Amino acid sequence: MSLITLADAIQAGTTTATLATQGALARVGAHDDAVGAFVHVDEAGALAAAAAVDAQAAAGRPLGPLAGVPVTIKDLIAVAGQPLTAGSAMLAGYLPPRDATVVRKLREAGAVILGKVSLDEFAMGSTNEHAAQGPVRNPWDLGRVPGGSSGGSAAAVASGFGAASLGTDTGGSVRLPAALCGVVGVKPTYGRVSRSGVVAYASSLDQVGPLTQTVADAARVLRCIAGPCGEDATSLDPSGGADAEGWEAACGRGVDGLRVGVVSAWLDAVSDDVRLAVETAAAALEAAGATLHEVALPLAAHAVPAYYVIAMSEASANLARYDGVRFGHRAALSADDDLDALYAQSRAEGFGPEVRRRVILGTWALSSGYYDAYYDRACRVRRLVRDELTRTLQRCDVLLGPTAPRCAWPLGEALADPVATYHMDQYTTAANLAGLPAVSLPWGLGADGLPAAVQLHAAAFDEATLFRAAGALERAAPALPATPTGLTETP
Amino acid sequence: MSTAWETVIGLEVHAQLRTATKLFGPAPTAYGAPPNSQVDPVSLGLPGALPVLNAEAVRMAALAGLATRCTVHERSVFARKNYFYADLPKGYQISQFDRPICTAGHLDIAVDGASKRVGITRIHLEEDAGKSSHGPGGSLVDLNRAGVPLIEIVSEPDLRSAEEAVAYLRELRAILVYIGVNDGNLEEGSFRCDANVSVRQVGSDVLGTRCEIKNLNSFRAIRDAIVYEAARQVRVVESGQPLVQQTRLWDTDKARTAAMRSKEEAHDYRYFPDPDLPPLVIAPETLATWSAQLPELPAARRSRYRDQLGLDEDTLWHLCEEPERAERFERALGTETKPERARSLASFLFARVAGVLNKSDHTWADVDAGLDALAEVHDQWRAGKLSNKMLSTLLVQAFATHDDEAADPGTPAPFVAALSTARAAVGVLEVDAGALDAAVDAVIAAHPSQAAAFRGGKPQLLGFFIGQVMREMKGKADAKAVSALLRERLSSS
Amino acid sequence: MSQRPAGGAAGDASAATTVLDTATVRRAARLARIAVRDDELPGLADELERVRVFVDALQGVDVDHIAPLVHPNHDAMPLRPDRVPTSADAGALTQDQALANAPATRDAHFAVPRVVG
Repeated sequence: MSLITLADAIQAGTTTATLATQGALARVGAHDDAVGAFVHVDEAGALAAAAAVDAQAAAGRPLGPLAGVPVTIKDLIAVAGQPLTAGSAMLAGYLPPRDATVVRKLREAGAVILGKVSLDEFAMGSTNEHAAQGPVRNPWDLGRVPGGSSGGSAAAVASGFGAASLGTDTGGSVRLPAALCGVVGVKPTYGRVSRSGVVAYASSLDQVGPLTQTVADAARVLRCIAGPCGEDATSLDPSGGADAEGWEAACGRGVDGLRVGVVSAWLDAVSDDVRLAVETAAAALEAAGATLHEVALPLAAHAVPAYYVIAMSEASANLARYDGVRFGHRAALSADDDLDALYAQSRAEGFGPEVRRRVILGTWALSSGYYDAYYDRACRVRRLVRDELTRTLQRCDVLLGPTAPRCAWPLGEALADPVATYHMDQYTTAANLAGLPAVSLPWGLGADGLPAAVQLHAAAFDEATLFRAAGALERAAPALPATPTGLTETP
Repeated sequence: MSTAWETVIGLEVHAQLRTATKLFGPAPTAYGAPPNSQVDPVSLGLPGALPVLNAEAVRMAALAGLATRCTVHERSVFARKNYFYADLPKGYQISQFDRPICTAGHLDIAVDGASKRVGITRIHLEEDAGKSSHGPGGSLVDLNRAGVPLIEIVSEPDLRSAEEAVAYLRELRAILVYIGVNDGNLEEGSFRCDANVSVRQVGSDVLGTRCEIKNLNSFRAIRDAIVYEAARQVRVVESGQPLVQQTRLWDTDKARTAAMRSKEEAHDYRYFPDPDLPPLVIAPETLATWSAQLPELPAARRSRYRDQLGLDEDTLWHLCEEPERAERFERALGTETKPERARSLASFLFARVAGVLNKSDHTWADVDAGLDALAEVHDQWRAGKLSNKMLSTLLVQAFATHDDEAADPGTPAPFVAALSTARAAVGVLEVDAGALDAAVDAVIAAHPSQAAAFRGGKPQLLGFFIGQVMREMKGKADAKAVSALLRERLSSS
Repeated sequence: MSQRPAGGAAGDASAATTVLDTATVRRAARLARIAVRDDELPGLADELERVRVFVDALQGVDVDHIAPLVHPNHDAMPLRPDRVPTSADAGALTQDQALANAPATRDAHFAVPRVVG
């Protein structure tokens, strides 16, 4: 059942928040041992929140747009009273004092928080295998990765563990797992959603986004969490909140006259399944009244290296606060160890290998003698990529292309070759560098029965057009089986 | 063969801004609170906490720039300065690096009557670190001060002596206090100074190897440290040793500088623009509004007092060091602005009254409502209606009664009431000009030989005459008035 | 960041020369305060050098006269009023909250080993 259908049913009194929450918890109990999406289930808190919604409904008081809807939260986002691990041994046992802004807003909209879901450590990864709690499995094939870093979020939504999840997207971390798990994932415009209370990976790239089963569901969740926040100097809304009200309606508006750019170069290095998905999606948009325009984005080819240099550099500073002094893992020390030994040992033990790699490389890229050739140069390339996309999105309303180069791949493959895995981000990082909104949505199953997906980009703060195109595509897309194939095999 | 050496000094001042909350977070900035009680997620560097810049800190930094004739930039940028230390919660300090808020200003100082212009390279905004206290078992960290807003004011290496350095710091401190951005407190560390000191042969235009001197928490320490360090550097160079560029700490007790103990490692702060903070933009109209808010600065006030009141430089400096002091003085002065009265009133308030006040539990704020009455007391004393002894009795009594009066919350201005009671109790001398004249004439007439001796060059006999007149007046006369009259009569005939 | 000294070593960095050798990686790890054992260094340097070669594609892009971009959608930042919020979940933390997650505290301070060993 979609989020909106469920919310409407709770509003209409045909079901209750408690029933919806119990149902979601039952599915978690039945399937999460196999999937491994959750790192913390807050059964008592969820049932209490659901009971509060039901009491509100019984008293005839108006309900919020997400009233009674069970949701999950990527464990990179603070929920007061629940552990916040960022998928890292570094933060084992850490309890945040306050809700992140997005969590407070979800609660205000009536959402029921089921718990925290898994991720690649500090959101660094594309497969959800770099997680202190162990890998998450793809619900469509338990031998494959769900994608990352919001792998727990995508697997949870695909498995029916709640109707929505909040993920974060720094270089594709919402869209990539959404694509691999057959759900919708939106990366909003940079600045659209507050980052306050969200553990930072790369501050100028990070953005919280919803993962849901339908495009309209994502529009509704995004409306609830969007807006400027006094605790994040990069959050803003040029429209003053006016356009968010129209996003759900935009999903049904149709694409007559919409100019769709198709990035032909983005189909050169993708699997047949993915190529077919993008081609049929383009044809579907044209059939629905849009015009297709072939576009070239030569500079976007440099997005991935620029992204990695910038993300690692920012991360090297963002992760400096994990030093074993005020919170987090502290190494056992001997009597003659000094403060520097405490830092170096605690950080070596608390961070996993991928985090260590990125922090050390980022430190190097900012260091004297290398700053100009790496960090500074990457920021200049970032401007080239941003300007090229901005120019292109003046000629086209949206850009259509793949999300990932292929469907879900087997567990273990990426661990063997980290650099090869960086290529999985080649179609997603440009949106982060340029600060644009983008969405990944399912496009049926590929030849081997795994979900395929396509991606749309729109201009900054033009989520309305993004949802318009995505809604039309969703109506034309081949249907997915109601239950992911990996779950039907388990009792 | 001795060479003439010249000391070259540049100063870096860290001044704490008087905001209610921290530079990037909402925690209060109170001094002396229990440890780790003035913190928020931002100043603790908790996961997910983000900096949001305090608007008032920006206004204060811009005011400091305007008051020191800097260019206040429409756009400036915050950067992360990366290093690990126990009292630096995030592992980086948010500061300004290549795009500070203010650049290229100056202020004028005067040493031994010669005026000099000292360049200000830049003023930038940054957050303070916390406080580590070191003990045998390790260090304890209090983060109350972490994130408190600072401006760092960097001077050009234009200073050539410890005296010039102190004059610069006193002037800068007075300016910051005048414009209300800093409380000027060196002891609590809200106005801190590091000195970059080098020496070179007179006539050379090449800068020598410099040492940065830290732990300077009084003007005295700054002066002594610079003198010591310059002499040390000259000794080293003259002995043919190489000077090592290093950070040295001033030790007040041992009166010497010593190299700071640290690991042998070059710093690499890896400055880069803080991705959490887009550029700081100050609209030209906003800056114009702030510029219009600038009060009269100490130099302008000193020059006004010098021209209008004819006060000497020491009095000018003392009066104008704190804006409240000057404002009190002006209120007490009123419209009677003759130089003699102005000088006398300044010394009356800030020597005599201050002396009694400092021994009491009063503050100047208590006195404010009684300034007019105090000015009246001053005028009576000056006119001879109060003897020195009476004045001192009066003041002691007025300040002593504070406790009782203050205990009654219904009393609107306790000091005013106490002063009034004390004045009534002490009374004033009924100076009968005719009786004093007659007494003086009678005493001179009765002691002709002494009068002749006085005129013949024995001024010490004045005391004898004063005593005789006071006896004649039965003590009901002011010694100053008696003395003045005697001098007049003894010299005129 | 114009005050920064120009990078010499990196300017002619190419895939053909090893830039991230063990000495460079040891230095970076030391700056990052991440302990790396000597026997781990060669393997780590190898992994990092492969990433460096991957991102070195940037060296071929003509970025002359292109200014760095840090904030894609922002020209200026909003400021915060200088007020202590009254709401319990917005302003200062209590001392207990501040110390709650600390691995070691003493007398309401965070406790750490001595600074220089």
